[in-house]
Amino acid sequence: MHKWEPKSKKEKYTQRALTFAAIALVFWSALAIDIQWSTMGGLSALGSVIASFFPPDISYVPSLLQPAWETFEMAVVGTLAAIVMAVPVALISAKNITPSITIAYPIGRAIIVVSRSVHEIIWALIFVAALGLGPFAGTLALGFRSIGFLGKLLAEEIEGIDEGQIEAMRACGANQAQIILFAVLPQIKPRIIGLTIYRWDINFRMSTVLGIVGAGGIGYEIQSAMQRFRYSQAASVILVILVLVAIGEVVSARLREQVT
Amino acid sequence: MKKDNKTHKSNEKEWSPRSTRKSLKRYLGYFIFAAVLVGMMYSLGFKFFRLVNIYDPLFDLFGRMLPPDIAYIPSNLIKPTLETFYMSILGTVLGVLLSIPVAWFAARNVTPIPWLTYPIGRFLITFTRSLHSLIWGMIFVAAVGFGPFPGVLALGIRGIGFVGKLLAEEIEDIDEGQVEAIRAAGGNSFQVLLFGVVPQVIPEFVGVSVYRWDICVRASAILGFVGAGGLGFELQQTMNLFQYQRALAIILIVVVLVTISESISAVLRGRVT
Repeated sequence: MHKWEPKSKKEKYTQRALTFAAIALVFWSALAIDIQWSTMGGLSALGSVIASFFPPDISYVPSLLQPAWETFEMAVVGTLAAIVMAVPVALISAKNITPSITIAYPIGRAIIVVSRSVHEIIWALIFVAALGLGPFAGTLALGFRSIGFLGKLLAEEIEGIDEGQIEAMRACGANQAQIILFAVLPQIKPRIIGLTIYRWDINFRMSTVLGIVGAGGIGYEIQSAMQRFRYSQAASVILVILVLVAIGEVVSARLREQVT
Repeated sequence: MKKDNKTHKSNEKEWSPRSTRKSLKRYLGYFIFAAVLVGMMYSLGFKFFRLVNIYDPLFDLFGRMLPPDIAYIPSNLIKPTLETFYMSILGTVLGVLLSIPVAWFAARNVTPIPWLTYPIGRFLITFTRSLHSLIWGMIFVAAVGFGPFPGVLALGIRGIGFVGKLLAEEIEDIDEGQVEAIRAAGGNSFQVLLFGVVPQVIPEFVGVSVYRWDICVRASAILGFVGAGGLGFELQQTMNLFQYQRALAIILIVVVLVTISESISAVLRGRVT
């Protein structure tokens, strides 16, 4: 805790200016956004649509089990594929052990940036366009997007490891591969497992919507139910998704607790 | 309690090589895991030849995306880009406003009626967080029609879970001394909130809001996929019409928007905290 001091004049004015700018931005957005109020039915229409979601059509649930399982599989396979690819990416984009700071390091960083800068859904759209509809494209999209996330966090972890072990290995005459295998990987192993589980949880949520662009999973079911105005069916899809997400959260919390 | 015992024991236990039985069990576990994984991959359509052959169609697609149709940007993409931006701002504001009462309910130390309002607050946070903003988008498109308005609503509702959760955690971490001081001076519960709680969480509140905005920018770029306004709609249209060069131009705009908002949010959050 640093000592409290009155704000300097400059600080005070920048703070005021920023606050003012933020408020102005909000009002500007509210005025500039093009919302056609006339086409909307008002509160009563909103209420009647929301009401038509109830009661959820429970009889629809059995037919959702297969897509729900597919969603689960997509998350598992996508995440594991990602971790397999992310470890080498992390190894070359960690400053302390990258084989070459001029070539490999920028390549690793570029992979991380490209993978992270585009949303899963957009990756899924691209993979669907290239490889066709279905869970194959969705799984690859999940995996590809996760490389950046896992690679970045693992690289940071590698940069923070105990250098002594590396030095010890090197002093024994180990080559680079042996150093990575016996000095680097054992130190980041718990983190690899923890991050994989964490990312799996995220991917599980993501895979519930990938079906919207045709990339497999339960998202397709909700999309088609909504398009056919079968709101009570859509409500049961939402229920299944809520259960899936809850399971994912509990499982990931339990597993992470065991690891650490 | 139980967990503490366990870690304590494992710390004391001396290291010993695994017994044959134990390592056999371990390898059996790996084997079962691998078998399940292969089964999953098979059912998802992962086949060896398909995996080997993903490069050709992917590179073919990227080839058709290049060069991006930059000329398409000034003529057709300015409006959806601005719309995406406006949606992100308004969605953030709506989410933050809605999340304030929810956070008040869901913070254990300030919740007005612990047995009633605390579970309500927690439920709202969990419920809104569990559904992806695209699903919220679909629901609101069904309710109020196409356009940016359902997008703003979706971002706002999804924001309750995000901002509300972080804000409630901040409120639970405040210094109780200040709350007690106001109460001792005769402040009523409203004054306790206003002068004891709010001043302590203002910086985090601003930080979380800015962070939420940065996430909203990403989300509003894809909400158009379900008809809820912004660049996503254009992206889906161009992809459906096989206008890949235009699609790449849109993806580039999204990347630029996301990068800018991420750095603005990082700078602002650095200032606040």
